[in-house]
Amino acid sequence: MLQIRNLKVKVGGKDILRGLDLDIPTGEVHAIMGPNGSGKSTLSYALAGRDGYDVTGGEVTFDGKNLLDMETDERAREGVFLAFQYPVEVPGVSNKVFLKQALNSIRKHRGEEELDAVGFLKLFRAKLKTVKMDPTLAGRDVNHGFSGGEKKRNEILQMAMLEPKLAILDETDSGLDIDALKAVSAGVNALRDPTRSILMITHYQRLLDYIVPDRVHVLLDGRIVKSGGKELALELEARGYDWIRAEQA
Amino acid sequence: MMLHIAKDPQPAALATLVERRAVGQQRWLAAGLPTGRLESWKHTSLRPMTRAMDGVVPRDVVPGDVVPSGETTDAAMPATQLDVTPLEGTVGTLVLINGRLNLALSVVPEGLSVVDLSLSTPDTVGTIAPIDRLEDALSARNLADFDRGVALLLDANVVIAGPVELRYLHDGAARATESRSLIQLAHHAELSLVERHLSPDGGVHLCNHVVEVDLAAGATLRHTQVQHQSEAAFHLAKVAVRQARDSRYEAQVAQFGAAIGRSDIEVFLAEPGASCQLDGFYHGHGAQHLDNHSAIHHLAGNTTSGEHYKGVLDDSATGIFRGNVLIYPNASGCATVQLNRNLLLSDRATVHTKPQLEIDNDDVTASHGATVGQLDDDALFYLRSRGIPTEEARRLLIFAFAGEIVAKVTLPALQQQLRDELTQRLAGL
Repeated sequence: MLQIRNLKVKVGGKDILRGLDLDIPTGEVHAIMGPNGSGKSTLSYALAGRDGYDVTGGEVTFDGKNLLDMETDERAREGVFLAFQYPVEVPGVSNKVFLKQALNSIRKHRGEEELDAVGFLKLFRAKLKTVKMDPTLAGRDVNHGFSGGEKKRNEILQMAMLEPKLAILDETDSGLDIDALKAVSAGVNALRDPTRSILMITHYQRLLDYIVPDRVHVLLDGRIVKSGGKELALELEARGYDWIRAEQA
Repeated sequence: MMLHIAKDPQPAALATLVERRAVGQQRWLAAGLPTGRLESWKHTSLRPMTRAMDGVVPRDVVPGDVVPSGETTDAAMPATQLDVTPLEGTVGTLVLINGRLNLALSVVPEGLSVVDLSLSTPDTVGTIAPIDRLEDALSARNLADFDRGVALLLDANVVIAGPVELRYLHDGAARATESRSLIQLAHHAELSLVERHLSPDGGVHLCNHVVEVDLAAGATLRHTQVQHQSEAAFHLAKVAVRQARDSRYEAQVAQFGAAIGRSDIEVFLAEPGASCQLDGFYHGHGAQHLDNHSAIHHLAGNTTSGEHYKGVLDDSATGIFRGNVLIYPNASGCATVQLNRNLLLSDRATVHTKPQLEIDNDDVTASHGATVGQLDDDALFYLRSRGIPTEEARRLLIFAFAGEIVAKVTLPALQQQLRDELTQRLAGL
């Protein structure tokens, strides 16, 4: 599904990713863990195509296509979804209008028929149940006045609606209490599918208790320096990152 | 601090309209067209107008000159340009062609008295709009020369069931019209009025328009003003409102049209309990110049006012907001909120914004502010990251910005028209 080769990214003239390699086969759930400043968020934004994240080298192949050649919105229509660490508030734009427009842009791209208001609402209500989101909240302006947990739930609702091929969850667990974490995890697990790949970027191991990954990678100083099974996450939680740094030296 | 304007909204006792017109003529001849030397015209030059309207509007006025007004005979407007279909939800439509009432094309609702100002003029015309200031030379000229328009009169306690539209259709015969309306509501009367200025043939003309609003105790006027003239045209409008005790004035202003469009609203809150709310939206593109002026005079205590204007400027368009709120020495317990926000879509677009408070009383709640910004990059990225194409995402955000004001237009059919117009104007983004 996703192959990253020797990816180099600069932000504000500073090298952040320094030759990152990563493979995520179709249907697998991978986790990237790393200390602050290792480049976790830079990777997620670079994959989503955010301005200001300058790719200076390397290749990213998504579903057989060159991802780096595509604009942000094109990547999304091709099936890349980024669940934001800090979802953006968009006052004045209703969540439903936003989601309907997004969904229909993607459906059009896939050659599917666009949904009318009735079809959209039916799908919307069904998906609300799977992420256990308050319907009145879901109808308000995008993330406007939402609590941290509500924002994250809204991200998962969008993911459930848009059914991406690759979902990147950027610190989706940050700022969540245990109930919200369980609800969000249940939403993600419901989306696990042999045709869908998921990349979780996280600082803490606790998320991985709820969403169990197939592979765990360690990101340090802009490179993946170690990969392993889910037990690697426990080891990182117990021992921190210094031992890996020592291994590298 | 000395307040330098309008101690009394009712100019000195000028017994007759004829006398007031003569004073207007003197003022106009003495002052001439406003220039950038005046604070309130600092950012709006009428030079492009005098060039485009060569021979119709004088370049310079020498005292003693006789200034010709617009033509007095109107060429018939082609039937294809006469859009007189009523807006859905209205209970009456008055059609004015080049400012002149055409009763045959109009529907007058029961309970509303209509006076055709080209035939007769109530004595109260010309008592509210100031003409004794240099800034208001255009109002003075209008008073001297107006020869068309309507007066709408409502008796006490009469409530008109739905909105009434004054539809001004302007042709492009390079004419300058001096039109005027008088809206007079007796105590506890209520009216929703829509004034729309349209120019179906897209030509050049100048519309110098003055509206006087007189609200007696407890009266309510909702006044939606849509300026949607041809982008080659010139629209200069002054709205002067005098409010008695506990009356309410609500304005929703939308400026889309004209090469130079100026909306100038001046409200005199003359008695306790009077309140007003002015909301405005302007969208300028090309080289349009859209000017929004207002002055709210809190002459009495316990009066409240609110003002919320939003502008979107694209290409090399210019937007202006200048709102002046004046709280007079004896006016205790007043409250006022004033906000102007602007969105610049191009680096050639310009906004001048100046919310202003002049307070001569300590017992006041007042806030004011202005912002000028661009589309929020984070929000744009967020929408695009969900697959929404860039242009659509930009449109969504501009709509979100404008929507707050457009939503104040309570007539659904008109609100939809404004949204459609905005959609059309944003199509080329």
